[in-house]
Amino acid sequence: MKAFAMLLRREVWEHRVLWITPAAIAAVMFLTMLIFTGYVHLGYGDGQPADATMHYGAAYELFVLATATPFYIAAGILAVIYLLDCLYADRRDRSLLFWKSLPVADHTVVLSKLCTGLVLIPVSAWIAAGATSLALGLGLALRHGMGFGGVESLPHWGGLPGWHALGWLQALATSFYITLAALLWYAPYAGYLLMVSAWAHRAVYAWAFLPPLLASILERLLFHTGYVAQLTQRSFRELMGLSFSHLGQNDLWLSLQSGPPPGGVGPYHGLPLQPDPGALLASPALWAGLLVAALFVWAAIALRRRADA
Amino acid sequence: MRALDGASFKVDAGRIVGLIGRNGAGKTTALKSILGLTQCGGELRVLDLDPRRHRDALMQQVCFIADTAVLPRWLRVDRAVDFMASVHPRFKRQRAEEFLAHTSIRTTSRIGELSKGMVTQLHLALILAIDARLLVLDEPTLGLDLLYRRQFYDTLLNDYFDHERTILLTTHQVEEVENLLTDVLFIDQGRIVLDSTVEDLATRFAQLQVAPAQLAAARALGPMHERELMGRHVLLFENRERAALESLGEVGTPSVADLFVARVQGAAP
Repeated sequence: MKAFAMLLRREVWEHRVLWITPAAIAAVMFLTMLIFTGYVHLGYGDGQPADATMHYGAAYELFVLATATPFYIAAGILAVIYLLDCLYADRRDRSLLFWKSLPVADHTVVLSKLCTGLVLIPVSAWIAAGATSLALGLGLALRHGMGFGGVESLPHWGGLPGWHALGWLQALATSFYITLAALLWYAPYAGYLLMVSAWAHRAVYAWAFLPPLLASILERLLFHTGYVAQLTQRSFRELMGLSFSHLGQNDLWLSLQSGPPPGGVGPYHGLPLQPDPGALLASPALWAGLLVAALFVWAAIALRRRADA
Repeated sequence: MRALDGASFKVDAGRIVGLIGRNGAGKTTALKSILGLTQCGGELRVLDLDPRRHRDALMQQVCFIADTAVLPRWLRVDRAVDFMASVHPRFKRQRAEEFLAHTSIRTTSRIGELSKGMVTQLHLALILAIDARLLVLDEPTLGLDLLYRRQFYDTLLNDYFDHERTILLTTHQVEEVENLLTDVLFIDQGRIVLDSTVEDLATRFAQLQVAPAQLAAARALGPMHERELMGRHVLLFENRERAALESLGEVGTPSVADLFVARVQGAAP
């Protein structure tokens, strides 16, 4: 366990971008939000504003989820870059034999890299997003306390939704659940990228993306079907549909704009997001994906074992 | 194409063995097989373990430095020590730190900022701090200047070797390691062409320098190799009576390098 923890630390030492990126996003977001003087408006996909009737706790919850989005987008990009690079980098900088001179099994090394790409990066995004929203809440409260903001009516300090502890905690729980669901859902992608990283001797990005792309195009040209695309695509919308019941007919939207502050102070029921882990875990698509992920990881371990320079 | 072809040898504990061969002779493949880094057929036991099946357990007792085992440039020196201390059960942190204290390496430096000689010193510090039974060195001093090379081997002998540990090394600079070897293995085209202790070399092989007048008589004794050196002929013999040779010219013990050339280039015409 001590060795595995050190292997994870080693990944963070090597790939400093893993912690610099969320820190930079947090800093930019914090400063931007403190300076921003518009209002956060919420609505449904049909264009109808929802925030007039939404409890400010739910509004804050949605606001926290929305502020987490940049962290998760960055985490997704970082995970792809990291997973493609991690096993290839040891061969590229010729340090492979040094790492192999240590009594650490190849499967432990590969699993530490999978754990970094699939768990550490998204969970770090969750932590960074949570910390940022907490800092924002406190920062906005401070700004309001100092008399800045221009909007007197609580709970919308300075145009942004006011601090709501329960809404914040609810948003953290929801985003953590989405994080866990997403890492299971996207595990086959992670396994595939890891395998390509263990296999390719150069041009890892081309090896990762061109084969499925070309296969899909050829299939479409020759057979006029789209099975390859269907097999290789795992949509976030489908994941959300599996992970939550009563998601609602329409997507919620959020925009920052000028205008009167959003209102609504009825009873707090949270957002209409009902986690349904049972439905997610009962999904054959999820388990099929995990099986494929296991096969890719097994292949990555075999390739790492055979690599000697 | 076979990199190793029926290569068979045994190394006893407490020996310093030089595996000597030309480029492409199979040295690195032999070492990689011993370390479980490449697949090979036949029987192979290292410290009573099969490297092909028990590499991870083996690596607790074996360490190696290869010219291809480059330390990662992004790693900081102090973190390299931290890392080793966490993943290697036989790593003695204090020993590594003591060794590093005698160098000019700053522990907060990244490896990419160090000179090649310093990187080798660091690698040696990390390796010497491991309480290993077998040390494998594959061209460990390649690209280093003479001072670093000398320092490397001095440290190896003084701070590491204790007659219970075994060192297996390959190098092109045979002359530099000749005096520290206890055994030599010559490898050519994947085959072991000489397997001997250094002590035995002196009794088994002899080098004779003869004047042209004695050349025919010397050749009649069946030298294994012959070369001309500034007008005199130098002939190498295996298992010949020393007294018979001394009557023909000046007899001495051939260097390991001379023996290697003789063995690999083949018998005299």
